[in-house]
Amino acid sequence: MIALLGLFLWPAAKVISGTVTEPTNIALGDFLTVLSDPTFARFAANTLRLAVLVSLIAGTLGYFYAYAMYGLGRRWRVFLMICVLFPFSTSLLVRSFAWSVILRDTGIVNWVLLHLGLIDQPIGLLRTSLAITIGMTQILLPFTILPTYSSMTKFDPDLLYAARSMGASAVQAFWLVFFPCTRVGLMAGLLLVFLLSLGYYITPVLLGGPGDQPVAVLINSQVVNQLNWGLAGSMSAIVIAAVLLLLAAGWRLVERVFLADR
Amino acid sequence: MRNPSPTNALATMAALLTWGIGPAISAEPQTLVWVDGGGSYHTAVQNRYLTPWQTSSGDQIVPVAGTDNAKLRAMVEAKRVDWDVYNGDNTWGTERDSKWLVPLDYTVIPRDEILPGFVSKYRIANMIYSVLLSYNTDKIKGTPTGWADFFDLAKFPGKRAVMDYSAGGIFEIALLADGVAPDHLYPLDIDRAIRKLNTIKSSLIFWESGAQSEDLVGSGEVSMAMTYNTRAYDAKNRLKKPVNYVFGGQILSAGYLTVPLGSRHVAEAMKLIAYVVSKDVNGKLSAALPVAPANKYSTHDLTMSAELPTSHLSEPHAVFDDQWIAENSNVEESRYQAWKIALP
Repeated sequence: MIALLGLFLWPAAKVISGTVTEPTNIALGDFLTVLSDPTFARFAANTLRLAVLVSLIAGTLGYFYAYAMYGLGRRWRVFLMICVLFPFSTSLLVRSFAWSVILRDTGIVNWVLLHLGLIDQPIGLLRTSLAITIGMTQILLPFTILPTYSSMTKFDPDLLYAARSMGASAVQAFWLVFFPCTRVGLMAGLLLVFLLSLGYYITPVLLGGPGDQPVAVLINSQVVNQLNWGLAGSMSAIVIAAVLLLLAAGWRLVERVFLADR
Repeated sequence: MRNPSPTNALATMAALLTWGIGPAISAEPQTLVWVDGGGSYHTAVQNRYLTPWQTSSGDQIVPVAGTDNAKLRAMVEAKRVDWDVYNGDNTWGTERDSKWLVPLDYTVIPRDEILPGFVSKYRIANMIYSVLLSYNTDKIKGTPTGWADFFDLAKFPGKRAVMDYSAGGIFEIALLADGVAPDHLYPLDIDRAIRKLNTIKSSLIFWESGAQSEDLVGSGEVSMAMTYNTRAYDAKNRLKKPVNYVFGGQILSAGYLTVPLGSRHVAEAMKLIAYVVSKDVNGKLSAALPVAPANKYSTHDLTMSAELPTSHLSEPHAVFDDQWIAENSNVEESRYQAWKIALP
């Protein structure tokens, strides 16, 4: 708790107070500038859109991947687990760069499609929002797979037999018994991926086009190139406030799925 | 975007070791931390400037790769400054940055020997480079001559790579292509620059690092790239890529030496800077890289003559107006970001 206070809350408070005191003492000037800036709104919309999209896709894929791990035998389970953890141990930058090599015009995807005769000339995959979505989903997938799988291992399989013996079909047993019991892990994963996506910088920069860039790019430019930390702080504070509001609005949902089963 | 590197760790260790010794007498050998942008420049600087200085002065120098203006500011504000000599780019070190810098000591540093316009209160240039047009010789038939060709997709088809930085010259090249006279570039007509940029907007690719620009033009992913003359030279001569470049329309720029406010070795840093810009030493970097000395009495490496930006001043060229850029960078930045986010 003390560590959280000292290492996170205090610096965060300093950044936010800096927005009011810098460059002059005119309070809230930067906030109004940022809030009334249509450019900021577009960057922020990109961030939100990406975070929602990536969490939904990573959540869906992650859930079924974890389900496959749960359902298959030991050997396969270990193999699938290694497939999750191995890329997880390489750096974010390397994985983002690897995707840019795979997706570029001369990359393997275009090469295969060209040689199969499906396309006549390379399709532009790199520097699109599709590329960012693919890259970020792959990078963040372990964050949905691991908590989901963990909640599945705690599931009591006898419940399924009981459901089946009461006349439920396999599909019904899955959706009415298995899924509700394991969605806690899925929700935890979704939340993690959503929050992590909001701060993504490198992956969108390397894989996205100019119109797809998230708000982190705008903040970075103010911090590094402009040394305008007041404005950068306002932008960050607005993003944090928006996330807190979103979480507060969704709290009932979070509460229900996280805490109801306890 | 910058990752902690072993050199950064070294610098920190060196700073920790010397911490507590206090302001040592300047005759004593000291440990100075030198920061530059990294890459092949970093190696060249060590070989041509820093190692000879260590030998002659007895000082230890810890070279750090990766300039970071934000980090410098954070150090100054935290009053824990590990860096002593900071080799920034042309947008760094003007009056705008006076809060983070020590005025240079021109009783030690030979100010009058530097080319006019490349020295001011807080900074002194140690080398001249430029931003120019490079092209992939497999993709381009014929020879482009300047920025007008960069914007001519009919004559020279293919994508164009530009520096993703509002103050890096993107507005300048658009205006030069549109026929603005090089000596009338400033104040920049940003509206006009954006109108010109919009004529090729769907063909633009933005690069973040010099290495990326070499990759883009070297691989042929773009047919032309706006990049540093040092990077274009590197792609052609070291990486042996099908790349060539034109000095016509180049925009001259410089690397600047500054001393962060709160450096614990200010006197020794001034001496090191005086050494680096001195006429006998300054030109030596050109043996390794196509950068010209800023000291007008210094001679460059003769084998590099044709590659130096300053050897092509008879051709059309512009010079970055760093003062104007510093005063207007917030406007440039917001116009640039608003334009870019609306791109396809």
